Amino acid sequence: MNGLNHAAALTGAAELGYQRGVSEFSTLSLQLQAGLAAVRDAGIRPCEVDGVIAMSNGTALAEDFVQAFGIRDLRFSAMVPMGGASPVAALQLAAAMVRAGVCRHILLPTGRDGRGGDATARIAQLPVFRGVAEFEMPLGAFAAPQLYAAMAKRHMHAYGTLSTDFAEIAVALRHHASTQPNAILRTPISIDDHQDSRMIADPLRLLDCCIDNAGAAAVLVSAPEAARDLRQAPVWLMGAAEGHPDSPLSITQRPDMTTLGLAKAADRAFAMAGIGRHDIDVACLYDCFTYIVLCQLEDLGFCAKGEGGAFVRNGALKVGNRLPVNPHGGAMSQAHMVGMNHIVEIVRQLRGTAANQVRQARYGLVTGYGDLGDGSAAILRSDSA
Amino acid sequence: MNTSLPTLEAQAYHDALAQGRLLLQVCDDCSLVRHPPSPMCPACQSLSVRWQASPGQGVVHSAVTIHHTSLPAYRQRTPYTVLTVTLNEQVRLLAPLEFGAQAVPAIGARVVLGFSAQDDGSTLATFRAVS
Repeated sequence: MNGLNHAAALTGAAELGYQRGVSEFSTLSLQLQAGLAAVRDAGIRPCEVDGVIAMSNGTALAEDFVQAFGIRDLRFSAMVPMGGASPVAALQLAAAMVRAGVCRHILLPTGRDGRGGDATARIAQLPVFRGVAEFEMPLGAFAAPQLYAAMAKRHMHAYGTLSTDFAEIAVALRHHASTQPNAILRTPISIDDHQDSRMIADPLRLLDCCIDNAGAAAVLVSAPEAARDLRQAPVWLMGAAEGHPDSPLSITQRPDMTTLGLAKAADRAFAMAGIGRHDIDVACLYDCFTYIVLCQLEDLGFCAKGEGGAFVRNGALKVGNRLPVNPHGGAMSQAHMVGMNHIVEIVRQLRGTAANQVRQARYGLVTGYGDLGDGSAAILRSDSA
Repeated sequence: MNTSLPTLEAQAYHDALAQGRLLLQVCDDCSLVRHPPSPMCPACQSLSVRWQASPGQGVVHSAVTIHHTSLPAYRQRTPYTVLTVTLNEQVRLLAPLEFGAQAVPAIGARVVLGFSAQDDGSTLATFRAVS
């Protein structure tokens, strides 16, 4: 057995309804509800959960699940502080823990209620933004689009990437969301709509940015012997890795601004899985901004560095075309759930139960991205593949 | 603002900037210039540092014109441009282009850091194009 290949299976996946504005429930309640839904999806009893990897912002602790689920003997708890890369990186951690025999069922919850006040003040408190808050926020660049726009601008300069290439990504993901019942933005858009949307941080326009919303999602990771004979066919983990970029705390100082931490993780994940890029039937790529999708396609090795623009043209990311990406609509159009909804979607695709099902999807890829460039990737297969 | 700021090792940098001077941290053992200030040299792991004045000259590495911001101090100034500049010392500095500049310098263009007094008595560092 190679690394974590088949060390674990995803046995439960669930998400609540996503909504703009504020939920009637608290963030804690939402995470407990999504966690319970994932557990019931798997068909185990809530008290059988024996590991929890909680969201690193501390909104719901492993102890909250002990209390609410009646867990008698929680054997493992952790947080993975990598922003939007956390949930997929947590798959690697969870697989290692079940492989080691510490746990049988590890729950990965996310959720937020839409409250929480000023996002700028909240983000400034995150440890990973310490350097940004001290050295760059006083000088006028702080919010994610402002920091990431510098990377996108550099990519355009170096490789001739066009704003209409970013538009292709936004259009494809909205196309998917238009037939996804649990998506917040469902009205199709065109390249022109993208080009006409207002500039936020040049070159990133409004339609290059993901949405903000309330909701919750969770998945359950189980040991192989505990995964069989559950309610759902297991989705098997074949490869998982995380990667941290050069100069991880400062995009400004990063020698090559057009490469993300994912570039370091991709080869590890594929080597562990023992399959190639051409084997991937469907991909859920973290999409806080269109540019980040384009850059990840390169860093994952689906095309060479600089060829991401050409890769995504002509609707290449739509289901049925070159590489189906985010058939659920992603964070751009379905919902921002720190990427947990991307894991839920890849599980559904590999069970054959997704709203926008890729035909005969056997191998899936899911990535995370966050905290100024951290990356994570997991490769999964359907039980019948 | 993050409650742990400013970091102890960066105090000299912040104090100088407030007085209109750019100081860069230099490793006292291997002479590597690094920014932002930090406790340990990334090349030789030395804790010894000295400070070196910088003329703030460099080349534009990337440029972002911001049309929307949640930062109260900058909300009135949109659109404004923030430059990522590779200084002659081979570290990068992020700072705004002078407000009201006629054009955004191209990537590769030469710029220099300047300082101006603000209405609230503080000093703001901005880049301007070198003709």
